[in-house]
Amino acid sequence: MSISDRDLEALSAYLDGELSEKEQARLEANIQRDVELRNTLERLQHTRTMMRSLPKLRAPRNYYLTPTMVGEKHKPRRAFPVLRFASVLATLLLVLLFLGDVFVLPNQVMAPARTMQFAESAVEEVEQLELEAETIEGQLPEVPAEQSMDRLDMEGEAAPPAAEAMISPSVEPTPGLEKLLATALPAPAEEMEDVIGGAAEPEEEPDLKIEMRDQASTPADEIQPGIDLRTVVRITELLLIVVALTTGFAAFFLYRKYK
Amino acid sequence: MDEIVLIQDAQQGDMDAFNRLILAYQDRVYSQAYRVLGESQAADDATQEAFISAYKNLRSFRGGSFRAWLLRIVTNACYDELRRRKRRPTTSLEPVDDAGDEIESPHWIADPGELPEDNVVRAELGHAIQHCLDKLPTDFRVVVVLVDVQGMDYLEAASVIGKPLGTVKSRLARARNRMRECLQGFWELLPISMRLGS
Repeated sequence: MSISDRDLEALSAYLDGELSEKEQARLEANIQRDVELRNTLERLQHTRTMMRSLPKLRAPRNYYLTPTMVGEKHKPRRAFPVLRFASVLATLLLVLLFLGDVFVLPNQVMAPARTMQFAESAVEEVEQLELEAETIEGQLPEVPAEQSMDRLDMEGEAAPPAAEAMISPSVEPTPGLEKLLATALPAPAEEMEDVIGGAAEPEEEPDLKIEMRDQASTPADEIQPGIDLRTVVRITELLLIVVALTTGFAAFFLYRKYK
Repeated sequence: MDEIVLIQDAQQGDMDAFNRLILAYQDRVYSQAYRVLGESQAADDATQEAFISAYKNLRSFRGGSFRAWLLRIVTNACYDELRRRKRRPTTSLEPVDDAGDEIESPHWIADPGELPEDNVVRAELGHAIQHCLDKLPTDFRVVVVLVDVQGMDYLEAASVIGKPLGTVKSRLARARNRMRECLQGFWELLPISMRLGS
């Protein structure tokens, strides 16, 4: 009669004291009756005893850990992508800055110098314009206050013939003023008349003249305010070169060391 | 020093504390690896790997039996090694007959040298047991080593292999039965005090 797997499990657990009291009592009763069970139990016990008699093994060496074994090797590996990214970023910024330095910066640097020069010439021209306007007003006949008011009221509408007759024959723009207006204001004749008539508002004109100026007329050696910006750009470029090279070499050596 | 204190210190990154734990457990861990793998070099690698893994995952230890936790890690390392062997089979050094069947284990080839007679018998018994252990399926071998070599109870063994208590009971019974069959030819190696009926 062969032993079932269930009996085998019960016998094995019995040897280890892993059966409940009820299971243990039942198994002991079966063992008393069944010789095969008893023999199997004895052989299992024999095997178990042999297994437990195995000499204890000693480790052939000490397995002490060092920081290198568990962590330090990984730190440079974590630093490598950071250094590589920093190097690439610094290089890209350097290229962008260099391109900006070559193509954009010269124009940007000249702009403030031209603005100052244009402003000075605009002031001179405005003063000249005011002088000419005063001259024109001196040549005009005395107009009563009421007529002046009427003329102002009718501004923007068709000017009455009387008023036109009053202005047109007597107002002969001087050659300088005419030239200035021709270059600065490519406007209809009515607007030019308004300018002549409204010489009391000369402060609007300098802006227009500045915009119309030929920008290429300023020599480069007069540029003074742009020097600071250029220096800053140069210093930044140098710093970026240093950062790109340093991080690049560091990443390279880390890669060589831990690959 | 108290083991719990050492574990807590090691969890805070104190490597010296962990090395003291290693000193206390390295024999057991190596023994488990050797009995499961049956080879000293592989057992050495598995033990080292297990301690490194244990240190790195020490924060995941939530109390309970530290020995069971360590043996679980080394057992997993052994399973990994056995899987690697399966993927990359190597030529066995064990002698085979004309039919390709293994004649005997290298354990029997080892020359006992000048050992006294008792030591020779004991060494041969050890070799016989290891020989039979190597022939067991891995799952059975792990359980019988945990219970009969490491002296764990069923509950601890169940926590190591991550299986229910019934699985431990079943695997252990089958493993013991197979060991009994395998060792039948080596009864004479057993010391008299261990023999049946003595």
